[in-house]
Amino acid sequence: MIITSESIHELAPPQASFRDQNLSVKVFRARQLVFLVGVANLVIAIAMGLFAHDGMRQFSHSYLLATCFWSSVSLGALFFIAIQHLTRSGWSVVVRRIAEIFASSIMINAITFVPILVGLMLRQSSLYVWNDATLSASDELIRNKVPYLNAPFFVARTIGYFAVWIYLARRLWRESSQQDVSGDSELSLRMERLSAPTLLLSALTVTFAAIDWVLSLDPHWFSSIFGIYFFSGSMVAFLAALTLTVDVLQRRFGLLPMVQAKHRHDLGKLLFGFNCFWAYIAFSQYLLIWYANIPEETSWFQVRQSGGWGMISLVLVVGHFVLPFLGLMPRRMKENPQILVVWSVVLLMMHATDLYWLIFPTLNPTGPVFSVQPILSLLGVGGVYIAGWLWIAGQHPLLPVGDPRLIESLSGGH
Amino acid sequence: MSASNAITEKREKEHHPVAAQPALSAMIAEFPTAGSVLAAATRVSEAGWSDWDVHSPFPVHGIDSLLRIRSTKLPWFTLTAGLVGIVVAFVMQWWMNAVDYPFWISGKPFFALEAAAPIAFEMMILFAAIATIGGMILLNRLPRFSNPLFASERFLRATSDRFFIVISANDPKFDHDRVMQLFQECSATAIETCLAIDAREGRWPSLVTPIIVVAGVLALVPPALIAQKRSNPTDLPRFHVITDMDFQPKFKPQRTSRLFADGRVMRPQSAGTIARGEIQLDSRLHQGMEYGSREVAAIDRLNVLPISAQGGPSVTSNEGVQKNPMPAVPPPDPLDALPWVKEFPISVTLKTMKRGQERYNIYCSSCHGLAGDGDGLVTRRALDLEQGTWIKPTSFHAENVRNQPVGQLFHSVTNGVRKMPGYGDLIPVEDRWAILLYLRALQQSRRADLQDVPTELIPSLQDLPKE
Repeated sequence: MIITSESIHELAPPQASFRDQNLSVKVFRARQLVFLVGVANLVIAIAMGLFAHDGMRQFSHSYLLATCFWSSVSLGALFFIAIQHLTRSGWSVVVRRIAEIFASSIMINAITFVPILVGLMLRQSSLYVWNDATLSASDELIRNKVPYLNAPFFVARTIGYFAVWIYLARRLWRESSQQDVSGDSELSLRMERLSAPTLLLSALTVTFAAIDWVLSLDPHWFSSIFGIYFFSGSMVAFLAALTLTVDVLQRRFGLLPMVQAKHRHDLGKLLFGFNCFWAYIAFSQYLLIWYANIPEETSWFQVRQSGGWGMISLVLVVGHFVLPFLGLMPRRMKENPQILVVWSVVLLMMHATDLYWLIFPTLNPTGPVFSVQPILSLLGVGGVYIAGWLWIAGQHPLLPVGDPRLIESLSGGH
Repeated sequence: MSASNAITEKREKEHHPVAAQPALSAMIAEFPTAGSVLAAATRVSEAGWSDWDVHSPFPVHGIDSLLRIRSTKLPWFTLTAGLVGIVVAFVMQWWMNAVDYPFWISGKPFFALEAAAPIAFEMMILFAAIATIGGMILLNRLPRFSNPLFASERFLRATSDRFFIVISANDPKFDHDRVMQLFQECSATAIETCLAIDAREGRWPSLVTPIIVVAGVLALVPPALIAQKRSNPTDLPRFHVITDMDFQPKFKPQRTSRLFADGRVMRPQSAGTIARGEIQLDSRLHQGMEYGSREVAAIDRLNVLPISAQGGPSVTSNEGVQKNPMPAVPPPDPLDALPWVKEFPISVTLKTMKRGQERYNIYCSSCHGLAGDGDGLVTRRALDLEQGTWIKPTSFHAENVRNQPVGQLFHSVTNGVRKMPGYGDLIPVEDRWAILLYLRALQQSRRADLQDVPTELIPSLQDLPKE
């Protein structure tokens, strides 16, 4: 198939948009369904939280897990887009619009974060111990951190992070969709120029967000690599979500036939690479603390190595690193859609497990206690997120049809 | 200019006798663009040729499948070597650290996966990288010093801006005229024949072998020298290949020099001067002795004897510390007779007490114990080793220590006592007094009774003695 710039416009829109009459009904129904399922899950989770008589502690941890999980997918997308623009990469143009939809979905994450902020402001101390006035007053270390870790400042910071991310994602989204119509190559350069500050700002905000949202659950502990740890997991989660999304669009909706084995190969390579990066960062954090062996640092890992949490740690080592490392290594595995999807699902589940391992030891220090609330929350927030995703995705073609590098991308170019 | 006109063909040179004619090696067709070479390669492939190749300045998408290039075995080299690297690294570290030279470092196990992982990671990369490069050279049958294609001037442009299809004469279907026809049908811009290279040209250049031999012999010299040195121990100082900073044009303490008349490197202080920050006018504070004692300035650090006690002249200048001969029969304890201060020459506050506690725990507790019983970790370890040279520190709660004036204790902290070294150079003078303040508190803690406790704290006491 010889592709020219003329043939793209004939070929792309019907195969790369939800605008098609049959499809738009199908997508609208899917959107309603996932939204209702999501809300139903959340309602059940809240009801369980209300009846559990633990001051909603189980529920608030589960909800934080779900929010962090879906936010990390959007944040990974923002990084991915910026990297693609900065490297002027041609191969990724066919999947870049999907990434832009994910990045724009950070708006949905902002909405789902609101309950946590409201809870904090109401002094519902079921989540962060530093928000409990009596507890933080009795603990000298927390008392000294209160100028940073206090509810109003936390809320202000979180709003600031989301403001930065939404602004960047929306600008990239707007310029990319303008290019669909105009095909102006100047817009590519403008997105490229925006990508450098995007990377810088995102790196800073994600670091602080990871420390605020997750690390401050244990305000005694500190780790300067924690932001990168969260970022590496986010990249893995996003790339897995992207691969999975492309597969679903191809199989369920018959869309994006132009994403072929060579693109999957590249996505698989990135997934493999960032998964190794996650393991590298996780081990770097562990090794230094293991070597120094200082009680105030080891206490965090002590909890996660003893009791049932030790088993979860092993599951992460094997399931998040060893098996995907071996499974994603051969080229054939990356090009085969079924196998790549299996690894994507495994890695998404492992990312959720990773966040569970980060968040829940504060709630159950002696070992994981099974509860359906984390699962219900993940599905609940996920339903809302996917519904929002579909709503954003319906606004423009699923392919950046005006991008000057699209031809290069369709031929799998590097 | 039509394609057929542009076709050039290398004709055999007339003067070559037919018998010495080199065999035909391959035929080359030149194409101007990636698209044209892709189209031509599709035709060649469809025509069923097997031994042919495409040369291009950059990878052309779609060529691999046309050429039916099998995927390379190179990744297996990389994987195997990487795994070998990991195993080698683990075994090496285990053998070195846990078997051959076990050395206990900060309570860590001799061999631990955590500590061994970074080395294993690096070794994996090292082994995998070397195996990949070596495997690539091996699989490509490199080095090759000649190729029949290099005879063609035109072919050199394969590295810059032209695309070539080469059909080898080894192909079972090879026939000069058929290939010529095929290339013409593909609208090649140029067609050349390529002759097999002379056997002599295919050999290595004549200098290569001697160079390898000489380099190999030279490479043996360092290991041979090392082996020779290792088998012949010597008393001579070590041989400085690299001097680092071992030899420097400067004086070291306690050495001699011809620069000064007295031959000493370390210069005594000039008469009548005091080093900055070392003025010690307050004898209560700095010596722990009452004012006006003539003996104060004359304490000898080594013999802890006042000079005046031996009838010598008392030293008032700063001409360095004078050494005194040991008296034949040392008096029981000459220090007891000195006018030690009995009150603290610093202000006694809670802040000083806290400071003293902190300094005590840092400097003193490792030998004397946190409670002053003379059972610090160092002491316990030394006594465990039973090496015989360690003297257990006296408990601060012993009668004689408790009764010592505070000035005398200050003297011990500053200048040392028995085997304990002096801490005067390490701890600032106010901190030494603060430590003594805390020491007094420790001593008091063993003998305190209810009257010593502030009344408001009495209700909080537990386990009060039933009287």
